[in-house]
Amino acid sequence: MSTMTRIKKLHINNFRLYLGIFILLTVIAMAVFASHLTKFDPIEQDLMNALQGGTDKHFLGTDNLGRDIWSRLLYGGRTDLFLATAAVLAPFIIGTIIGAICGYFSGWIDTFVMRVADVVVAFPFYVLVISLVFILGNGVSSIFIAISLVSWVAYARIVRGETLIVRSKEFIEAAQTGGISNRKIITRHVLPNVITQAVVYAMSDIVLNIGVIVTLSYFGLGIVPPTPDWGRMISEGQQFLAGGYYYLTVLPAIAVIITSLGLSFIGDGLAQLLRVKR
Amino acid sequence: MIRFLVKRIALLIPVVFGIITATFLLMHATPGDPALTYLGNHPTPAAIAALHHQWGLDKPIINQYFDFIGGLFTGDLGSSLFYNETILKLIALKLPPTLMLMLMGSLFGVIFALPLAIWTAIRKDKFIDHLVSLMNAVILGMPIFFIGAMGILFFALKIPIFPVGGYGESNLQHLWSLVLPSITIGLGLVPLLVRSLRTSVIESLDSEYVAFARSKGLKNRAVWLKYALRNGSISGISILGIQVGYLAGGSLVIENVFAIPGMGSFLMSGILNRDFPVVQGATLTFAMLVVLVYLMTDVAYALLDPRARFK
Amino acid sequence: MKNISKKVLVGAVAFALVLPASFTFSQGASAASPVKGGNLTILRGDLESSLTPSTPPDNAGIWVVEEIFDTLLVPAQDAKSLKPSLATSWSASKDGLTWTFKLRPGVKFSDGKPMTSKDVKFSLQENSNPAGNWGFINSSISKIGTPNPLTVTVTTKTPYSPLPAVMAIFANSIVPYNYGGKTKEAFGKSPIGTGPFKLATWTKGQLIKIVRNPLYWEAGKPYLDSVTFKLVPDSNTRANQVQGGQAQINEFPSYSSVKTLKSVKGVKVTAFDSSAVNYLIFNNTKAPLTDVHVRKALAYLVDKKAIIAAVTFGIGTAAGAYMSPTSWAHNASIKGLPYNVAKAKAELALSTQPNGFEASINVSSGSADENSKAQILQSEAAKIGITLKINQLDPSAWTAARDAKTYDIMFGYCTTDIIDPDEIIRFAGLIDGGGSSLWSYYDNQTSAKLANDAVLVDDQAKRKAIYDKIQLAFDADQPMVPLYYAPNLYSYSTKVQNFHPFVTGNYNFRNVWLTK
Repeated sequence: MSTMTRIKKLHINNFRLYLGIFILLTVIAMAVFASHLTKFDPIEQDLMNALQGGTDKHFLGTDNLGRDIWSRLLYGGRTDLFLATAAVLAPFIIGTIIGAICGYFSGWIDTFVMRVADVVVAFPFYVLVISLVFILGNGVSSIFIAISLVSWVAYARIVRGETLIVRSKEFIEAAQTGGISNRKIITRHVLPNVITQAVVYAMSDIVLNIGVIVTLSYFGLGIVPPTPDWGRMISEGQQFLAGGYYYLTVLPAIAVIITSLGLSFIGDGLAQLLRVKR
Repeated sequence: MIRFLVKRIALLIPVVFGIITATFLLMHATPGDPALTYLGNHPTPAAIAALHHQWGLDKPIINQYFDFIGGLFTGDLGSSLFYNETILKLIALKLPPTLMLMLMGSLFGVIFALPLAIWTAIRKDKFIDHLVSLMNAVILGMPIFFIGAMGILFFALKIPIFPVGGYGESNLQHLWSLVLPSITIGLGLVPLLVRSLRTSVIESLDSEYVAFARSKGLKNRAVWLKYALRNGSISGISILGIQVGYLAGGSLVIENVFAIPGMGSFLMSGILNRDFPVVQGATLTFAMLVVLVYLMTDVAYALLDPRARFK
Repeated sequence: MKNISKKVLVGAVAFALVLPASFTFSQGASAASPVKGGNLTILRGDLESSLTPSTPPDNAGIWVVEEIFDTLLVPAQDAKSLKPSLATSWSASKDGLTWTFKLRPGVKFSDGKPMTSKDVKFSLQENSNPAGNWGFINSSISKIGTPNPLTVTVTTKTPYSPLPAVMAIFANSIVPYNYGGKTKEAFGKSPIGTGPFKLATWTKGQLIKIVRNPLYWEAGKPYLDSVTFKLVPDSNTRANQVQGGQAQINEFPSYSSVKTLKSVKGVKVTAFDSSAVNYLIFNNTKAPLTDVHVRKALAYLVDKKAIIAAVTFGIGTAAGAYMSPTSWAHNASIKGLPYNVAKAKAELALSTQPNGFEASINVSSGSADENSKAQILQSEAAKIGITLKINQLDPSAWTAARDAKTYDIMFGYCTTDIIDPDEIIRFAGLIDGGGSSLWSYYDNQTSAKLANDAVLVDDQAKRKAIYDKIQLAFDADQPMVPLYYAPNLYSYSTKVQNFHPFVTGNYNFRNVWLTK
């Protein structure tokens, strides 16, 4: 295959990647420039105009406290995207390092860390998260800590597996016999070769994290008001389903779905890119 | 094979032990006192102290811990502080609905995912492939309680096919009332299952075996489908194994949405009341479940693919 | 995930007073005569703690106890007087110290044994233990006599006019002598009473099924074969199941669903009068809430009308006095502080924190209503420089913070247990009334003295004058802000006839029947 056709094919195959990036960037831009896209304060209440569907003034309507839903969706995106991404970064870094070390050195440290990982995974996830949020109190930092404590395991496992494969490759052996320190080998040679899988996983992990934040809100353990966030919007709206106010739940759910769509496409596209590279 | 099993089981012991310890520490670090919840409006210090004594909560933490571990070895998980019933009896009551929910959920997941995976694998990069991956992304983005709530709205209220919740009285009703919740859980599994099954079907289609079979003139689809399915089932099993944690977490949420009296709601009420023995018993059950499924996954793996045994 | 411990529960008052015109009256609809038979399922959001009469602190337990057991007296429909039940007549001695109750002859427990004065004495003594949940209600009793099998005398330490009302509380339900030879714990699992129903199965945290007691003393009742109480915490699920015909009664549908439910065919919604008063509660022992100006500033920020519009969807009325209007002691002249941000600012300027402060509101997680109320107050408080942080706590942690006096602000409500105002005047207004002034830890010794004087007086008008004063003192101090008086909401199948919970909440299933 000539280089040209290969690049061409790559482009076609990665339509998804670009589409995903486009969607995600749009969502991020809307969250960042929220104040330019609405004239309403997301926490300003108007109790006498509560629970109104789309009107001229509020085009997506108002919630149970008369707050503008469009504005809450925009500002809510800030909260959730930030938290979900932050809660991916820490476990990503920690998990990757642990995974690389375990895979590279093997031995007792590997056995020990993987047993700890087993405990974390076998522990009912929501029990851990709920207990932690109870102990630490509601709020962004508790959710961040709770998710991080659990999700490093996935990265550690992925990276460890990849490292085991890379370790047996010739260039690593060459480096070892060449007297290069283990630290240098891991950072210079192992990590660059194993990290892509972790990046692919990170995309779906952000989606999963948004799901966790939303579900915590469902149990009343989510982000503390008045900070707007999609999870709280969905779970508070859920209380009004029996009253027929579907839009309170459906609109933020659509926001979550669109975001997850973008992230999934990026994940798919990256995976494809990798496969072509190999 | 027996050596393999013994080794696997031996590895599980520290895991279970770690979970017990972690649960114990977590629950005791969480603020709140079961005596206050139990006594309600008029707790006197004497009544609180009496309850603490009755429940053994006045002993040092370390003694409570060893009492609990000691009980485990004699098969005694203690009694619920609120239900006046032994934990074992309560678990025996609450486990069946949850187990059924998880089983039926996995079943529905596979029923939905398998045809989609094969279809999209055959029509790779065609319209249907893109459509399914779009659908997957949409499902992945939906919180599970939202799927459940929408399911009730459309398939129990607007079009009354299923009961809106509860668990019914007879065995048949039990089963029938678990259908919609199981479909909800199954749907949540679909994106992950389709993705990995599709990949493994594609890989087996590209494999030398199929190429060889084709070159031999075996055009019959059944032949390579069979091969692809066998390989697919291996990765399907491992995905289900990995996702058992999701199933356990999902049951916690879904039981709440559909008012099913299972382990999830049992555990949740235990956490809320600080009913320590309940939380410990329920967490242990969930953990054992997850660990056993891992074990079974390993064994199934080993049976289907003998190479795995020596890894 | 509802909070059980917030309620001060309920024994008996009667069905009363004005209902909003828009709500249906269940009995008006059916002129048909009662039909015997049928199984009824009622869905509830709260978990019952116990079915031993002297124990449950929660409505979920109390209201089932009332179906299995009887008390000596019951409140009349108008909530203003008492009616005979297991006692057919009662009278006080001249010195007001000794009350004589004549028991109904021929009453049997559901195990066939006759009910006598020995059982009554045992029951009242069981509930008089000061360490028990409801011991405080019997604290005036000094001696119980049984001159013959059908007569009981109750002697009090000082003249105590609410005594007959106390005999109508569920906690003083009549159980067999010595629990029929069982331990209290064993009795709790298989209770035996004289009530219209007896316990069939009880799976804690799931369902309670009670079936008709064939030995029940009131001829022809109950009509139903059985009643099943199911625990369904999610209010959406409850609404759905009644709509889907899987259950007949939904206890406490969410306020927001009332409008929709009313338009559903075969389902009706009724707001039954209740003694419930909802409060915004300040921790009166914690600075700066110790300062009356701070409390008043916050009270001025409470827009009761807006709260009723947004939280209860127009159901309920704005509260003034801390006693419910269903009680004869309610002081109607008290209107509370009006919503006025300027006045709030002025009030705050007089306080120790003229420029505002930070405090937290504890909300029990899962309570959508509390959550909304907290967010409304939070946004109002910000207008005068008060930063309120919302703490969402699960019920156990919520209770712990309440009892340890570590909270700043929270919401709560109470309903009365007896038709006499003495209980709530003390419970919600006085430090030693069993509820530490509903956990506001508000301590007004002048009011305490007045309340002690009030029970010595037999004349209702004179007693009311005293209670008026106590309520005025409360209004001046604003230890809590009474928010609204709310009815008990039920949505139920149109097949359910004559369903009439009392003001205190008890269901009265003995009168209910189902059309086919």
